Amino acid sequence: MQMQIHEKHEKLRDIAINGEIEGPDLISNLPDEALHSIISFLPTKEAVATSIYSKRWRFLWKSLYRISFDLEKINDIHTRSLWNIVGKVLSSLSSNVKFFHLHHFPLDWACPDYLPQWIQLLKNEKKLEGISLSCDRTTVTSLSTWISVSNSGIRKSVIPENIFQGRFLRFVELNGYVLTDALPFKGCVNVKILKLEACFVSEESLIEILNNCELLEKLYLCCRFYFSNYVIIRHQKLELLVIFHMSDDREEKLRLGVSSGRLLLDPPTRAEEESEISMGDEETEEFLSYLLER
Amino acid sequence: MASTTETKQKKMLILKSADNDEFEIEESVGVQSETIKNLVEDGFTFVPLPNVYTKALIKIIDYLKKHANKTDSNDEEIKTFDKDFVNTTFDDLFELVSAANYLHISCLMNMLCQTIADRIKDKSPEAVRKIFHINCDYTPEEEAKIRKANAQAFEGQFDESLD
Repeated sequence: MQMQIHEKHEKLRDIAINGEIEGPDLISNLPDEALHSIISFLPTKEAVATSIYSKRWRFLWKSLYRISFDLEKINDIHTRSLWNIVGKVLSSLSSNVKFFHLHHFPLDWACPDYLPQWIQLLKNEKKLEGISLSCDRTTVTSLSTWISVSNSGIRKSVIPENIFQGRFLRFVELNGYVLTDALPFKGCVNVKILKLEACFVSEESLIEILNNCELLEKLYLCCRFYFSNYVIIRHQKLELLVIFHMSDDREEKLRLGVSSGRLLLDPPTRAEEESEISMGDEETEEFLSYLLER
Repeated sequence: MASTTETKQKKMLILKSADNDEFEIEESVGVQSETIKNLVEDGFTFVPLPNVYTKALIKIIDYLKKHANKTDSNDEEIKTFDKDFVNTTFDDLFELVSAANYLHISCLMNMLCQTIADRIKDKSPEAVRKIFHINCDYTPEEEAKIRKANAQAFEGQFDESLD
């Protein structure tokens, strides 16, 4: 035992002298699976950069199963090069991708078909299970311009039709979008969890979206509804509804009630209010109504 | 009916670590690990874990026990527990990752990997090499080639600190 420890020390000292390494490299000794998992939690740009650590790390990033890109972090001049890296990384991956997150600028959808192409690739070849798209709003000065930009020709039909239709796609999250119609959700029958954060949704769109998401089980809303102040949702499968109250300049109060009379909730006052809807008879439709008071 | 009474009697399992220590746990606690679950389904009640050392196994059993008793009311308590659980050295984290990977406990695996990734995030490759004692075995030419191949990935600001 003594001998072994002594030899180990000798060996470590040799390494220290030769390679300026003071301790054992524990991280590189982890199994591939564990390293894939660790780098999958890094922003993808950084995960690719791990290839430079050593030979052991060279190709690990090709097995990333969570992809996360932030176009905002790159200057405008570099945006194009970032597009290149996104496309390059996606086409180099050897494994399936469970989750794809992208933070981008409003005009990115209007540019060449990069985004739809990436999403199609992930859905068709990588068995994509979850998608999270976040649209940058800081570039637009006020709310009204934001809506008018989204309604103008530049961003007409911001997100392409059917984009969330995917055989394996279970989770969809949108942040900072204006949803003037439900076309992106056309055919997205497999989606079970939907999160709409900081989105502007017309009541017709919301109802239409839910009609499309036939198997939806969980719905998270942190939205403003516009045009109308009264929304009724009918959905058979919905198990959980979470409302995040959006506090902002307009001071809207959101009141929620279930018109079947089984449940009546006060307006959520905290930022993260979760209300579990008790499911009664499975055949019975859940009726939920949202009342917006100004 | 018979099976209901049986499950109520709390079936026990014995886990044996790589350094030959034995731990008795409830089956319901153990089966959160896919690896253990598969063995239990094949009728095993004695589970040798040649890849998991006692130190890590004790912590993992703690974790499993805590998470087996998850209810709506102790959500906050579990969050605090998890936070303390990952608040440890890299060496401990790696040992735990390796064990969680072998035992296939996906929620623990995700939590540990997320923690490690968060600590690496924004660091320069040079800083990461120093922190983890990674010996760069590329020749300067090879290194230049790799940097060139994915040039965009190496652009931007990095954190050079070693903590």
